[in-house]
Amino acid sequence: MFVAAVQAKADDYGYLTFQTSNGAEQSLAVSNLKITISDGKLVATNGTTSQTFSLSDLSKMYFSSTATGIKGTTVTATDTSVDVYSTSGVRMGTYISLNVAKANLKPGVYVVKETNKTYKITVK
Amino acid sequence: MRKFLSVLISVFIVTSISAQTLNVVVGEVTYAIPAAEAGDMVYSNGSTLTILNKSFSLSDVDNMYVDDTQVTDNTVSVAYSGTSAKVTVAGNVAQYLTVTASGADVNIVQSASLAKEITYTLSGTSTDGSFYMDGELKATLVLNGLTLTNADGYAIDIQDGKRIAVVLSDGTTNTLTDGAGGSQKACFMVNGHTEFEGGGSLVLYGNTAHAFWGDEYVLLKKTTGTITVKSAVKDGFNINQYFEQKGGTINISGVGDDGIQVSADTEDDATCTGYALLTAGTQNITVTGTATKGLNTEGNVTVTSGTYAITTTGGGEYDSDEADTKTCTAISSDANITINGGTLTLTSTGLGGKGLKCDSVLTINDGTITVKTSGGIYKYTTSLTSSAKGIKAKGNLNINGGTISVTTTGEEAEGIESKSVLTIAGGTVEVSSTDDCINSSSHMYITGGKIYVTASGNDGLDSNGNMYIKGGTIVAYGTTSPECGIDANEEENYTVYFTGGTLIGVGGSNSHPTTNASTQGYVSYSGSVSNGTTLLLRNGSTDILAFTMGRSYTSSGGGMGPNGGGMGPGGGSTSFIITSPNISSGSSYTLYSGASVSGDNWHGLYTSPTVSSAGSSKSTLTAVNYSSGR
Repeated sequence: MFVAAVQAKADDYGYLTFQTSNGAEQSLAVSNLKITISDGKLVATNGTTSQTFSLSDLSKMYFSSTATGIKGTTVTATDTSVDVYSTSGVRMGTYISLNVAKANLKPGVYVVKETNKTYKITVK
Repeated sequence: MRKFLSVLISVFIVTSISAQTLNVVVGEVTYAIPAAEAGDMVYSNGSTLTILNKSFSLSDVDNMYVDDTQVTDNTVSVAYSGTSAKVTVAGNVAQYLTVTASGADVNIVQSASLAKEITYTLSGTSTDGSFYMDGELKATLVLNGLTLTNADGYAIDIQDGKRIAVVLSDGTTNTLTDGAGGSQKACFMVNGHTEFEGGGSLVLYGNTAHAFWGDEYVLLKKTTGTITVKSAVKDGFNINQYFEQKGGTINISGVGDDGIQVSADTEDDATCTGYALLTAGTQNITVTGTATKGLNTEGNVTVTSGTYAITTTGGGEYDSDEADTKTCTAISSDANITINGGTLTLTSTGLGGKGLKCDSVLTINDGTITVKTSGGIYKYTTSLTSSAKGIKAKGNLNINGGTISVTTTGEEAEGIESKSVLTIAGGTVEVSSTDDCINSSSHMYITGGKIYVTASGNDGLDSNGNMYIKGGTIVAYGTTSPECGIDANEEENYTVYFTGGTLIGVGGSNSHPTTNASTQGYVSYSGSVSNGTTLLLRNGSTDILAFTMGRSYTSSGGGMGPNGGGMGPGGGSTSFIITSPNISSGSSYTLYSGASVSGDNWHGLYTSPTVSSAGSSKSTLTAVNYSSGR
């Protein structure tokens, strides 16, 4: 039974993370995720979030159970409220914006969940 | 327990709903990559994506999407729809497969490095599609409600030379049709070993050559459903190596050549002699072409159980390879035939048609065999002819058991024939024929069994060597003079030996023992006995046997020969020869006519009659065990 439960958890890959050649990563929830390729670009969309990558800039993609991507330079913070968790899953709180969260968090790596995407940030 | 089940179910649900799959769509082919197995999916130079060692040219990828589809490792599914097909390849085997699909023509080649057997599941309908697979590893082909028609070639071609399991999914009907005028060997071709299983149905239409062609052995497992050949230009099944049927039903009709042909292929395996082993199942085969066979094997035919109804209707032709005639046969073997059980109903209506025929030894140990032929003699020239026969062996023919009924009605049609030695040791044998009922080119031995033969135009029992009657219960009717109830080859100094058994031979004449090596007594009688009249043979007040005449004789032959067994010219009598362990040489017996008897009898022969009326004394006969005269 325990083995089965562990297996079930291990099989839960809710995110597909893209990594570009500079090491930046971006995770998208896999629910309804569709990927198209044209004109040298890869477009990934899950109906609410869409990300475009240059094919020549992509290095790999992989499934994960959490949004493990380190926020890349192409991602712009927004003023929408965010939920922040530690990497061990402890909820740190809800902040009115990402900038507010960064200002109030201790240095470290955190998982940020917005309405339609999840990603990691490093607070220095 | 309820809580345990609840937890178990919830775990299962979690597992099921969390199995994300990345689907990489390349034309009509979708590679289904389970998230749990995907690992790093690497992009290179903006031109390729490699997943599980399968490299995709990004210019070929139409799209990718993630869903919750469950992917079973080592599987490929092909869903046909009209003029297209959707092929789904499990991610774990993608790297080993080269898959192309053009319209509904699907072509898959397995690489030599593939180490896990793949199951290919085909479903859907296409009016212009096909499936091709090649490789070096065994595979499973599941037909799951497939209707596949290919106007310009084969429907399914498996060039993989290994074991191919063909599973007919339970409850499904699968129909394959190939194109006419093509170069393919069959509608459904398998280069390897074919093993059918699964309770569904398969229907085949072979419009160029065979309906099914197997380069190696074909096995129908116990679970096999029904395979129906509706039509074929050539054979229904053309098989090499050997054929085994352990279950299932084969229906074959509408074919131009044989129903099932099995050829030897001993190059790699000396045991692949082209044999057919039928241990269970059903065959319903009808062939109509000239000189065709229902089941035709280069090797042995062995039947141990099952039900086989085979009909041929075609005529004969000249075989230039053999410089001889060839005719239709329900079951034909170039080697031996052995029947250990089963029910065989064999019918042949054409000129020269035969029921059961082999080039070597034919042995019947058990089973129920019913053979009917109605064709007359096939004549290519006056010297190249072939007469119809119920059962024929070029080698020895042995009957040790079983229930055998043979009826031949055509001109010069014989019942059972051995071109060598014929032995009957058991079983029940009933033959009605126009020519000889049972004929042997060499000696004939009867050591047991119950035999009834009635020939309308020749001998009942005809041995071209000696005839040894050692046991059994025998009623043998031949026709009128000069034909015999029992006929040994006296012209070449062969004779009859009575050392056991109970026999009554009736005909225009009968052979009789001419050597004191024949130790059992017999009596002979010649006279008119009408059909239905019961004869009673008594030794004093002891009833030896009784016999109710089973047919009429309107002979123009007449007077008795010197030993009471041969007809002279010009009379109107019938010859009887009677032997029994209860008849002693030198003893006197009285033959009564018009007796009333009851009890068990074999075609009118009562070996232990209950006599209510002896009738009138007809003749007093002295038994001998041989007579030197002929």
